[in-house]
Amino acid sequence: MITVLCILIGLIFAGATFCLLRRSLMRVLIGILLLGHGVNLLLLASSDPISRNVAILGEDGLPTAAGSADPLPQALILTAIVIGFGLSVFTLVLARSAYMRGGSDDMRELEREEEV
Amino acid sequence: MTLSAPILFLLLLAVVSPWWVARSRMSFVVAGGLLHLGIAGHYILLLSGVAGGGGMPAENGADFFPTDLIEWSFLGTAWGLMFAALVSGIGLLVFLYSAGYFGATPKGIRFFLPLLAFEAAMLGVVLADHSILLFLFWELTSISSFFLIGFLHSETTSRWNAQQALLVTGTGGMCLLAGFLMVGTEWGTHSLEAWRGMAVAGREIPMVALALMLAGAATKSALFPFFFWLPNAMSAPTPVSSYLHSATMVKAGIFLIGALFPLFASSAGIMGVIVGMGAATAVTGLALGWVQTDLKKILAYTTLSVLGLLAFLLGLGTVESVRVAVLLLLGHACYKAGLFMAAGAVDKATGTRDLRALAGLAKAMPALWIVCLLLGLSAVGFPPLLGFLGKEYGYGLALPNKGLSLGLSAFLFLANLTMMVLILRVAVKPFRPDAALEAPGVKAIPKLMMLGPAVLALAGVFLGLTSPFLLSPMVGAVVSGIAGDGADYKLALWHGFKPALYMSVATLVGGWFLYKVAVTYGKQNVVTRRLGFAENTYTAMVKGLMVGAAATTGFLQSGDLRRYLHLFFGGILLLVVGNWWVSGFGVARLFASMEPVPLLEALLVAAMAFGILLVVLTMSRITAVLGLAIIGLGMAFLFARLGAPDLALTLMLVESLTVVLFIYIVHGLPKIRNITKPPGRIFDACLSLGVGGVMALLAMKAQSVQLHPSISGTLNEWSYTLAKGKNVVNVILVDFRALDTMGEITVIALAALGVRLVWLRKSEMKAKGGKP
Repeated sequence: MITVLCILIGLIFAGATFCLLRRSLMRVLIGILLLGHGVNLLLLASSDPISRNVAILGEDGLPTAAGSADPLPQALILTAIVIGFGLSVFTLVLARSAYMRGGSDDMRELEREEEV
Repeated sequence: MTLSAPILFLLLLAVVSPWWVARSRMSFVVAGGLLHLGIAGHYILLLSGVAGGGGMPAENGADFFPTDLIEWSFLGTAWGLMFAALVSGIGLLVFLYSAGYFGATPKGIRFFLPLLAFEAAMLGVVLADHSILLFLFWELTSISSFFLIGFLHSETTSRWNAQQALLVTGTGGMCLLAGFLMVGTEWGTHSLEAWRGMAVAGREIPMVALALMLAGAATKSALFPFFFWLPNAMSAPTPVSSYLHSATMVKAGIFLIGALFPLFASSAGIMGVIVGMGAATAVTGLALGWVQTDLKKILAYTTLSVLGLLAFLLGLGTVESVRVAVLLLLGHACYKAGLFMAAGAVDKATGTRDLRALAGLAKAMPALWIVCLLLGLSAVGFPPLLGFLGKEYGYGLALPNKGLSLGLSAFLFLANLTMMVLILRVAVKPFRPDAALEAPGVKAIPKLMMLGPAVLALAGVFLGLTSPFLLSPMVGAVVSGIAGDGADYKLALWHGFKPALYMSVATLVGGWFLYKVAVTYGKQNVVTRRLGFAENTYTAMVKGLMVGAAATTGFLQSGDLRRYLHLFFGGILLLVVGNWWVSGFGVARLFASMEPVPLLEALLVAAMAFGILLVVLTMSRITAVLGLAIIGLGMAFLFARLGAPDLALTLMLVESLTVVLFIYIVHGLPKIRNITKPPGRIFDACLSLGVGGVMALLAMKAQSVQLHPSISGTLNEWSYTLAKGKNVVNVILVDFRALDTMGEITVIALAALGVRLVWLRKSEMKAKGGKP
């Protein structure tokens, strides 16, 4: 499973990089959203052990005999998801505002606008 | 503290000087003068002690610096103490001269700080026994020299010249440091005295280190081809030229060659280079000085040629040639500093330094005329003045080969002849009546400005006359300290009717004749134009540096997002892959332990891959949203499958919100376009695949790396016992890392605020009617 997970991470990063490198504003936005997913998966892949059992203790307050997933990366990812959400919403609104002011969806044009 | 106390005193005086001078100039001059007098006397006493056969005074404060690399250790060698006496003795005269030169002007207030700092640094250079400590002082002389050359900072040329001197000598300083470090590491000690001993004992020295140290010495002493900064440094006020650029700082390179003489002497090649550089510098200085009209420039070029001669003589490496170098250095320090001060006095009195406008000053300034005559006579080597010794002994030099000896004599004869013409132009021409020129009007000059040249002129007479008794032991000690022999040699003024005497007479007669005949100043010739190449090279290099820096900045900081990202991702690829390449990263090993993947998960991953392809390739905004939704949901399912239901739930919620918002915002954005041309897209695709591959491999590699033991077990243990919670992830978030979560909430709140503000502005704009 871990190998497949890693390949998926690679795919997401490749897609995100490609999108970020575009000049079209829309694609750059997509790239930013994709990048967030990639990083979250990367965190998950660092779990030790990667397990299908949930990280919830048994009735007696002790880890279950079957073993449970690593809770730490999950906690980190949870934080990352929420912050990532705030970030993407703000970026989206900002991008829209930039487009409205700059009148172009070409990143290079927008930068030139800024310099002026 | 016998050796370093004066250095600290001078530094202290330097620091307080601006306030002191501003408050009470008179008391500062008196106190500074007395301090100098004490310091000079102190070093002369130490020197006479060493010359009289006593041990060298040493000082070692190992705990002065909080590091092992550098030590506060000093050693008073005869060579170093002679320099220290010169530096502090001429320092006294220059100090008083400066007080007269600047008078009560505002310039005088800030002048003494760099001057005194320089003096302290120079004393440090000649007395330090630890090579790195020497380097520190060495750099301090460069830096204080920078401030002194650029003292008239409102003039562009002044600033340019100061920068030039700093860059040339500073680069040399870096070379010197590298050389010191190499030798120090190789030999296990940084003590110069130990180095000399080891070199004499025949220990091998890395050739590169020698060359580097020589580069440091050559740049400092303005040896060919680094000579150009010295004449330009004449844009400094006259006291500075007199002190730094004739008597002391420029001799630091010569001092270094002498101080490390056994090291340099161990390589015939390096000595040959020193001889060659010295001879070239001597010729260059004379050739360029031949056409100058500015008194200070002429003196600067003669200084250059003397520096060349000194290097030349040290490079010859025999006891006799070292003795000549020491005598020449002593004589030069006295007469050249005096001539500079006299030139400054002429400048101050008449308002010009141009040779073509100066004549007949003897009547108006008789005292200065006598002083100049004495200094000039010492400079041209008139017996029995101090300058005579160096010249006479120079003519007495003999090399093993008869032809070479003859060549040496001829070279020295021609150099002395030319130098005499230049010296006479400065010391005699302005004072003698000239039929074609009227004597310029003369202002009275401060008495303090007369003191320096007068004392130096008298010193030339006194030291010359008493040289057999007074100077002999000192010169002997210095020479034997450098070359290891010749301690008992007695100097003499009269050697009998020998070729050296005839040559001296011939020089004096020929020089006077040539001075009368050759009125060559003010006319450029082929040679002087050709010699400009060294400075042109420097200028081109500085300009090239500026152009290169601008081009690099323009390339790196283009303001184009794509360029930044290209550099960023390309850099990561290069570094990571390069590192793997070097360390031998086994990719195949990572795939060795592949376990079977359940069908459901395989399908999920395939669907997500499809989603990625969709968002990357599609031109339709709605399809892009669809792709994003597929990826987001895929992530959520993946989390659910991998034992993270909390993540799955949260992500589901967040993804839904994001997609809704995205659709809303996309509504106001134009269609997706392909703006980049196909070749650029292909390049980007390759780069992206590379980044993706590296990330995938990194993630895999991370599986086998565990730098610290995991704390997850501890968290599991604490979860119920400490926090009474069974969902460990929740416990971590709201208990163990509660502050972190609060930060997260703050971020969300700020983002919401930001969105609200941006949104508000937009609607305001709309209310006002479209774009601003």
